[in-house]
Amino acid sequence: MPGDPLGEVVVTTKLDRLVGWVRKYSLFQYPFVTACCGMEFMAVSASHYDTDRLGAAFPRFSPRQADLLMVVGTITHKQAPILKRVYDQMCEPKWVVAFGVCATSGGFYQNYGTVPGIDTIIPVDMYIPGCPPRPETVLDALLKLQERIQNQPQAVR
Amino acid sequence: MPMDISEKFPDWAGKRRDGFDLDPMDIAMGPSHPAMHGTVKMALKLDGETVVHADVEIGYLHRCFEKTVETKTWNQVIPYTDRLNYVSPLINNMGYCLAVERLLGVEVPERTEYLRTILCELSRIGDHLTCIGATAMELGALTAFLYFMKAREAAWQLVEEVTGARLTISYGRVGGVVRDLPAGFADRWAWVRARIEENLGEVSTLLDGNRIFIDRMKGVGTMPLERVLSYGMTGPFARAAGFDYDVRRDEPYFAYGRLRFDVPTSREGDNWARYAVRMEEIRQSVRIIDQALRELPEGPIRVQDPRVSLPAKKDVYTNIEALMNHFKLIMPGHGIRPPKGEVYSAVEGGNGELGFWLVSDGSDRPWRVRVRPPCFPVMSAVEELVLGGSLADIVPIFGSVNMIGGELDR
Amino acid sequence: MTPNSAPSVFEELKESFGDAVVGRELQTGREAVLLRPEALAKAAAHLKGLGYDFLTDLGGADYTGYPGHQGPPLCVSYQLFGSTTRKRAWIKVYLPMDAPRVPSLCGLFACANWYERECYDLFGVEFEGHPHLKRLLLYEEFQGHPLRKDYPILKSQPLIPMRDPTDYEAELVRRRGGRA
Repeated sequence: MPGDPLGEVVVTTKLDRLVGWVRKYSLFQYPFVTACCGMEFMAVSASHYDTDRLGAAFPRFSPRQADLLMVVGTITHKQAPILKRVYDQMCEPKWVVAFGVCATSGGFYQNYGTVPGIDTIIPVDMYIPGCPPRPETVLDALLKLQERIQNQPQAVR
Repeated sequence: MPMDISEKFPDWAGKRRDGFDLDPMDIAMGPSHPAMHGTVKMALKLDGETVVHADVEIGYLHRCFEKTVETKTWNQVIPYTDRLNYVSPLINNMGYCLAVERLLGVEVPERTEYLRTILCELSRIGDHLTCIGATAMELGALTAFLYFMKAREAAWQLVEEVTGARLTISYGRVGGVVRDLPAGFADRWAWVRARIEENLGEVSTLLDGNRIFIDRMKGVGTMPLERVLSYGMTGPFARAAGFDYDVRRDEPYFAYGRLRFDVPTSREGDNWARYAVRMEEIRQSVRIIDQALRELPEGPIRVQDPRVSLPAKKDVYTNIEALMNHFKLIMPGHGIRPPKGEVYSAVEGGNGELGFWLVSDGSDRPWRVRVRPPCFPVMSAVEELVLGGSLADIVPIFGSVNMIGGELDR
Repeated sequence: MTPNSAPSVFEELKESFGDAVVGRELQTGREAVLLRPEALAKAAAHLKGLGYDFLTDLGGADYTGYPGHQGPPLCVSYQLFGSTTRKRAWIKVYLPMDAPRVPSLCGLFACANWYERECYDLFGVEFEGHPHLKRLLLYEEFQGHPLRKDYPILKSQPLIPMRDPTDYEAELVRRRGGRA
């Protein structure tokens, strides 16, 4: 309220929303890069289409320190146990982004070697279509994911 | 190859000193590898920091290209070839189209050859920029990576203007290319060329005289020429060791026979030599594109052969023969039918000789497509390359190998 | 156009090895020399002495059901190249489907190691004398050889328990091919 001496320095909100705000702007991603989508991932993280301005560019190469698992590229049956293991090693709260159609649904690879979508192995929060997805799509997906993180109930005690 | 340490290091097994175990440490530089090389597992045995044994395991990206294409028609294979060497997809496209054309016995028009040359070289520039950028980033030079990403972004925007997509372009077709260059391409190329030259200059300034970069690259990962030949390596890796062979110059295809360019080689065979060879190849590719654009002739972009190319749309709608031709090329069971036979055709990919061995049984689907991946023999040598070096040396060695998972594992 | 192939590879091998040269195929302007599997290592060594010191490619193919094909169905194709002569040579070896065996070229060319492992993985061809014939592209518990024509592309594999990567003894046993 104008005139209120405390109104200009104190902001009130719910704890959930504060924690959500903090979590969405400090995403530490684990780039589980396997294939061609990795090139678009590099392009998205680079300076032209920057993910750093969304707070989501800093990759942590240890799953213990990461909270956003970006599965970039095709997952094969040989790679699937490793994906599961990396996912299990991450601490809560964690989110998973299936980057590209190969991670979403297997893409146009229907054969004995490819896993038809990583949601057969781990739960996925955001599916990004495209082969490879345009950087704008990825940024859109990150914004939607951030909105989701903000609005989900944060288990804070 | 795995090894029982008691065979090779009989003194070590079970040795202890001051209460410490002296066995080499087993560590897996695992399939979820940082630094965007995709998926390769290196099971290392380390004595302190020195690598005493390395066991490279590949196949984590085996997407069954060779089996899948046996179920598709000859033209439907092209999007799958994009995803082989996914940093230079145009070279794979064109290499495959060239192989099928050799099998069919058709010659593409001259304009197509020049277009293919221009786009292959643009792709090769992208490949080398990515390779050097990623290597530099892994050594800590993040700025070089970001600068090269700017240049690659410019190249990709140009590719997008021509083909419609940035990365997986499916631009080639058997008998030609999909569409012609857009208007104003030469001006756009001049802008992109300026970006590339500027970034090359900036990165050269940052890296060429950089003490840290030199120390980590010079003398590291050296392979003598005899071993390079025994391993069957081609491309920048082999040229940096002194094997002066480039498919573009020695067995010319497309318009390379009519263009003047140099093929850089070196004699040292270490990481630094590969870095220098790749930087120089970018400059030579720019030179090739300049020449090709100047000499670009007019003409059709697809061979006018009814067995291979679709007729013009206005003819399809007005002329019964053109309609039948169109039907015959599109419908399943018909389509492009190369005669029964085989061909082995090679082009120069970003990493070396990209070979396609095609077997046709006369039908509209390939019987067998074998890809000779250029980075396969190079990767098979990594076990020998990292032996005796330190753990930290694996990173620049791996970077200069330029392993592309899609090509290695297919 | 097509790479320059030495027209005399067939004659050279016929002269030195006689019976071991089964025939030749003329494919798209190049000549593929067909050899008996047993004579492959010696023939390759002879060619290496003649200057074909570079193994460009080693690939397999399954000709079961190929129109007009007579004889053994599995084929291993070798592309050789002379690094100084700049000439190419093409050798093919046809093998029977059950127990296909061919001598390994690992002693002559270092790259043959991985090429042969891949051929074994995808076709089941056994290379005699290979130091470490193990699957390369597929995981070890995979059953079957997928690029053979009788393997359907969508065939699914049996489920296997996940390996525990912290169990080093089991990992060492696995790497040694089951030997303790």
